[in-house]
Amino acid sequence: MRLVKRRSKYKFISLALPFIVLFGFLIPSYLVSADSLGAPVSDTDGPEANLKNLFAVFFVAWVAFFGYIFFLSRRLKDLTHELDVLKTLLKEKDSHLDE
Amino acid sequence: MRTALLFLSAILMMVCIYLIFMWVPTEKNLGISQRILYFHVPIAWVGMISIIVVGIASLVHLMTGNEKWDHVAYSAAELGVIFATLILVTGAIWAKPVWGVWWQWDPKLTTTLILWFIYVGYLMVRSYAPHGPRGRRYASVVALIGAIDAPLIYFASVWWRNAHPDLNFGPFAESDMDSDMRILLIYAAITFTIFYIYLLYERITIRRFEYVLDEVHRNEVS
Repeated sequence: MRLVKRRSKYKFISLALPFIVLFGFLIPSYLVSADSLGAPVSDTDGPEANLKNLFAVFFVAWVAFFGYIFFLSRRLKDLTHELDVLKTLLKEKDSHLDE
Repeated sequence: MRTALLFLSAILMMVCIYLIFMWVPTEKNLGISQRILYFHVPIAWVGMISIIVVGIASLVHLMTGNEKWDHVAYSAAELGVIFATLILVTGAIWAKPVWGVWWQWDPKLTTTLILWFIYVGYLMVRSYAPHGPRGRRYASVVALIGAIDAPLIYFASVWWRNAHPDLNFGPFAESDMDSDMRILLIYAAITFTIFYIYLLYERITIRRFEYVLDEVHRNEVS
């Protein structure tokens, strides 16, 4: 069980790193350009046009990957628990047979 | 092996994100939204690999009857649903600023939507078909029929010219892309393929586990 928990922790940390890098690049560049130009970023022209769409694509993709990894971790945890219950039942059965 | 794959894909992904935002030049006509390409195309690539994996594993399962291949097919189909959904969603988000609409009944988009339905159909057959070898065989037949869709998607933009751009990546692609952009696209595709292998490996392990426990419960009941 401890191993499973540790493995899921590693999974989240490893997958979180690219996400942090993404935010590290996207958000500061957006803020810096908005501050330095002193004008709102247009949706139709300029170098930052359609930044929202770019952000949305990366956000949706990472949410899906994290969601799936979370689903896998939960499933593995449930199966490990089920296996532990079965082991306990087998032990009980064996001890009854010995008696 | 599993941990190595996870760390390798995480490192490659970090480098990939750095290259997408800091290194590759911005396309003149499409602007910054063109950077969606480096996520959208690799996701589509992996989505297509997945249906081929499902098809091959199902064929081997039909020929040998070995459950191991059925676990591979099921796991690849589940991952396929996720990647096919992402192809459609990321494509729609990119289509809005470029085409002005979220969706067009373009051959490539339509065949991709069919792929999504095939994956969902496969998983539905697995859920509702009779338990045991018969249900697995039904699903394998669905997967084999579904695998026909992979070449249709790939060559859709060549056979039926429409709104979707030509092939930029993969066999038979004749791309006029900038060399830096093409290098990054290939790099991103390799990164996503490794990430896909990692996810598939994890899912297959869990699937085997599920299968064994399911059999234990069934034996207990009978």
